[in-house]
Amino acid sequence: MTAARGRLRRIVPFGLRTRLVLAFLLVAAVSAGTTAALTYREARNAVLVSAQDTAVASFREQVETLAPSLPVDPEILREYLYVLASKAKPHPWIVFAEYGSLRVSSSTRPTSSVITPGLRRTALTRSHSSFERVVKDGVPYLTIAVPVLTRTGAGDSMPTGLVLYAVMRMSDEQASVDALVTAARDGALPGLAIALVPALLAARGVLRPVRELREAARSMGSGRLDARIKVSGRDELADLARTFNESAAELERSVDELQQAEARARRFASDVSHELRTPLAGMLAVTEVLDEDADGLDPDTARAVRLISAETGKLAVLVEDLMEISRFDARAAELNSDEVDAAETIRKTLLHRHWNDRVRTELPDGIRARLDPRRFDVVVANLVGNALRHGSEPVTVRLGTRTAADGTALLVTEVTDGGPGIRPDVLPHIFDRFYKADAARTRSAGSGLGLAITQENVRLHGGTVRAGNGPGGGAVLTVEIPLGGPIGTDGSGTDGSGTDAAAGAGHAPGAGKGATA
Amino acid sequence: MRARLRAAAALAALLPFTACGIQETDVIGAGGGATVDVLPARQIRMLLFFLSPDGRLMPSPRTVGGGGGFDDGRQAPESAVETAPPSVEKTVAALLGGPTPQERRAGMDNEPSLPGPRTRVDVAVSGGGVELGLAAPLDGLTERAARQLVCTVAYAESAAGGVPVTLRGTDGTRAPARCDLRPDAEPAATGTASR
Repeated sequence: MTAARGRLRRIVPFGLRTRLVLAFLLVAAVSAGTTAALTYREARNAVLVSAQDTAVASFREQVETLAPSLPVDPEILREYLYVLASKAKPHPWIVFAEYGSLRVSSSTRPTSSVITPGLRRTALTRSHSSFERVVKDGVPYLTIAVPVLTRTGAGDSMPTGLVLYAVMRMSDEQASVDALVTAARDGALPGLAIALVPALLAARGVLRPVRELREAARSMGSGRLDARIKVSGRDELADLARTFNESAAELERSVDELQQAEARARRFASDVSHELRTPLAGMLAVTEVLDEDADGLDPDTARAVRLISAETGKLAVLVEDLMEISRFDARAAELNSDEVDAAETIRKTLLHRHWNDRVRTELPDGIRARLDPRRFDVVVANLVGNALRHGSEPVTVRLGTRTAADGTALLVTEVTDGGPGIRPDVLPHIFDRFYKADAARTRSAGSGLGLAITQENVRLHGGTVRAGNGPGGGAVLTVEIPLGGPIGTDGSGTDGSGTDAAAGAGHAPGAGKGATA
Repeated sequence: MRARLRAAAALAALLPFTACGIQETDVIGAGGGATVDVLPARQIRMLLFFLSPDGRLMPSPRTVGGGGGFDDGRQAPESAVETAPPSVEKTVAALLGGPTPQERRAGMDNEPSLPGPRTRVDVAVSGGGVELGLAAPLDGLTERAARQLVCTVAYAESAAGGVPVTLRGTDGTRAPARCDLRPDAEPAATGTASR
């Protein structure tokens, strides 16, 4: 499942790839846009300036060839204008003349609607030529005004009142400028498209190591500490990969050492308990004989013999428990599940321990569960024994069922006592090995491993065990085991108190089957 | 996200650079006007200054010889070529006589406050200046009318029109003024005349 998710290439909305591609595109767009815009501006201005300068210069030049008689005669002036209009450069123009109240032009209309009052005023009040670009109905026009001066003396001139205007359509310039826009756009858009290629390549170059890193990290998380990344190149990502590899190697080494140390320790405990078992068996046999004969001894010797006998018995229990725990640690514990009646199993447990008159029970019949009867017996015995030893009567065993949040049907076994309950600071450690709730009371009947073994057994069933205090003050220990038996036997409940260990039993298929209302 | 917005804003700020197409412009000066020689030629003409419909001075050259009775300068009599420049008195009299039909057609006219055509005129040249005596009161003479007289007299007296002209009427004398033809100086012409 995890591997499949790793292969999946998702397009994250603002992932690294998107951001890189966007950044590349942005840079490309800005540079292409700026270049195109500046080039376009310059080229357009060059086109326009060239046309305007040519037109203004040639118009003035041609006006200067005239030698009108003043006051001008409209008919003769019109002839002049025809001549001027025929010499238009660089494009055809229409020439208008204004003299006093006379309005003459080379076209059919005597005045132009394109010539602005501003240009007219400038032409009348200044003795220099001027031009103005006017856009009318989307068509750009160049309007040129040349006032006609006449010489009055050496180097002096005065305006004659005659002003000549040329109106030229700038269609060709507009076509050129439009072509420039098209060229700029056609140049910039493919540029942007081409920029996508290095963007994607760069994104790939960055994303591949990141993806490898992620997969390696994930496989390390799932326990494969030998996961390594191929280091290529000398960039920061290669450094990261190298560091990751080094850390992984270091981690693998430490974990290895830890595991070896732990294995040694376990084997030692297991070996010790094995080695102790044989002499203990002999001692037990001897102490039994001594016990029987104790009545015949003098009182002091008899007390000593009984003490030895009792302590030897405890030692035997402790060694048995140690061996049991060792089996759990070595994962050698096996679950021999069987479909049993839970209430019946509990009743048998209490009967064998001769507790049935000391313990109150609420055991509804008919709850069938897949259990290992021997281990469940150990669980119940430990809990009840604990309650009888550390709490006080009445001790109650309740049986029930419950449906977990994820739909799994659970067998709930609850053991309560009438004692003072468990202190809050003790609660998290109550399932720890050799944990003594009362430091002063070092000597007790139990081996100190009972609840730890209980917890291991419950976990083996895929269930959880919880410790808490009831509303009446007594301790409440609750065991919850899936009715259908465990699914994963990897014992995922790892925290000491086991409060959240139900996750290990979370994926029971057809979990609702065994559920009773 | 904010950085991306800022980049987009910068991009948008670049866009005004690319105002597409051909834009309008203001009126842009482009060198001098066209200086031409007008007919009739300087030697055979007298320059009269009439007012255009919008109140500007417009020079109107008239071929000398016809005494104002002709209507087309190009058909001036051949003998006129030899005549000396006309006297200032004659020129002023021609101005007071009003525009010809052709001049009138172009919109030229006299300022109404100018003295009538039959007004007697005398001219005295003294120390670089010209004094024009009119047998009429100057009281109602407007600034434009005075400019008409000053420029006509100045260009009649010298080709460059640079001499100061003093107007004298039956009721007094005005301060000497120079002809200022710069069209943009029109509203300020009084500054020269009222000294």
